[in-house]
Amino acid sequence: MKKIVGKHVVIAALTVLAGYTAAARADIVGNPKAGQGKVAMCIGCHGIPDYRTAYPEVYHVPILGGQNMQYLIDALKEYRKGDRRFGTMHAIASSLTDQDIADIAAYYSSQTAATQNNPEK
Amino acid sequence: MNKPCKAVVRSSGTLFRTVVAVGALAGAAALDPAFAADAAHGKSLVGSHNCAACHGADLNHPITPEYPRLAGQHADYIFWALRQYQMGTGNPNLGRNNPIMQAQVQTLSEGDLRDIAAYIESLPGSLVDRK
Repeated sequence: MKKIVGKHVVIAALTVLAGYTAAARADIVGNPKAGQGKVAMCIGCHGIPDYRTAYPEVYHVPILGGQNMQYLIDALKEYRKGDRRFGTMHAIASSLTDQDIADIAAYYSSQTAATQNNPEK
Repeated sequence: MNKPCKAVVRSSGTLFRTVVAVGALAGAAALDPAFAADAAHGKSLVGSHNCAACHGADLNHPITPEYPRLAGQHADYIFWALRQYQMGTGNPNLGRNNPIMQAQVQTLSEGDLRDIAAYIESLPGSLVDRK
């Protein structure tokens, strides 16, 4: 009897823990369709072929389409927090919520060679 | 009487100076990393620095989605990103704080970074430029 209770308690505890983990991960889910309507600020630089930024050096802004989603999320949060320092990206990332960031990252990471340009922009 | 001879001497002197000037310019261009990004050298640095261990064998399939795909990315952006990892966070307006990448790039010269960037840009990858 004591053994059975112990087993049930362990299973219950594991179930609750698993639930917490799933809830934490499912908290914010990026939606590429929602992201499509949130990239107006991105397109001004990242949507112009061969566009170069002029400060602090002249270089091509990075290609975003097809990039890993989690990397894009982390990069935007680093710009927002200041672990990546670039004035323009800091200003833009600071205007985004975690949900916006997730949606934008989902939008760009889902692009492939077959993707058409954004019809909304 | 020796006028033609002088003329020859003078013109060969001009030719010599021209050759020296052109040679010096070519030498300067070869030494300036902006003109001489060497993708083959970049490839060997990518190998010796084990970039593939995180970014994937083809630099297009990183081992976890937290790391970026690199293959085909703009060389001048890659160069600048690597330079910023070297800078770290000492400057309030520039730099990137990332312990792994900061450790990776500390011993590399600017020429090395340009060579790595040229190699990365030359690789086929799945990055696409779309609005």
